[in-house]
Amino acid sequence: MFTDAIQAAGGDAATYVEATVVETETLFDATVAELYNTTGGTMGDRSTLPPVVQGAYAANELRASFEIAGAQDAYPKGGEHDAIVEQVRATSQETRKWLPW
Amino acid sequence: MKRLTIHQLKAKAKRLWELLNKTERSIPGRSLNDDVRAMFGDLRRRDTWANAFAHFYAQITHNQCLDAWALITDGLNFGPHSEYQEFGDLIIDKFLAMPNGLSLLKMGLEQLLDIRLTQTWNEDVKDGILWLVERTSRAGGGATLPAANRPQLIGADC
Repeated sequence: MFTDAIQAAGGDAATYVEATVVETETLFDATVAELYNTTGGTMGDRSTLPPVVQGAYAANELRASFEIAGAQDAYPKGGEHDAIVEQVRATSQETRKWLPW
Repeated sequence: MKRLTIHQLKAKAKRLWELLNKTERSIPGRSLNDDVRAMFGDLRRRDTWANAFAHFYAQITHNQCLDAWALITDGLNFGPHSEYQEFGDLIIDKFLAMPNGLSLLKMGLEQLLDIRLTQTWNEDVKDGILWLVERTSRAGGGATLPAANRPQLIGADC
């Protein structure tokens, strides 16, 4: 759903990569690599992350999907990548507020 | 799709380079031009910046891979409708040259075969990495993807 929302809003191949980097940094103060390393998970397979971490991602991406869908008509042509990344950052900052860490 | 200009390539390479510096926790004070010149050569040439863009792209995609399946549907999906299609082979070659490149792609395919896909994802896979694999195989005179292994397998209700 999250990848669909990004594509539908005009994101390109690089948008998802940057969105996940920004989302991870904002939710967990860590890079994707650091998150997998410190939790002992397997990079590329989020089902190996602790359930609470998976839940945080899932909740955040669900919310971000709706917010992107709602805002995408206002995204400037040619500026969709930046707008999507900033939206993901904003959503992640909101999600962070009610996470227990 | 319109060809990316050298200026557009520079801007995209710069963005990825900055993202890499952040995620690798690099010491500040690095210069993009110094790095690109040292690694790829003459800064006035378009293909210098094309190589830089492709390398940084492959690097960040490989080093910060949250979901392996997303490599195939999004991250490395450079089919005929992508503005990066011109660099698809180059990026995927660089990705595969990295330590976990092949295993991440394999992981991604396995994940895709285990989860339900929407019709949209099926089209993406068909036009993206599988299209590239087929085209590369044909160019090299090698085998094409057997019809039985084409995306119908993935699109089937799995």
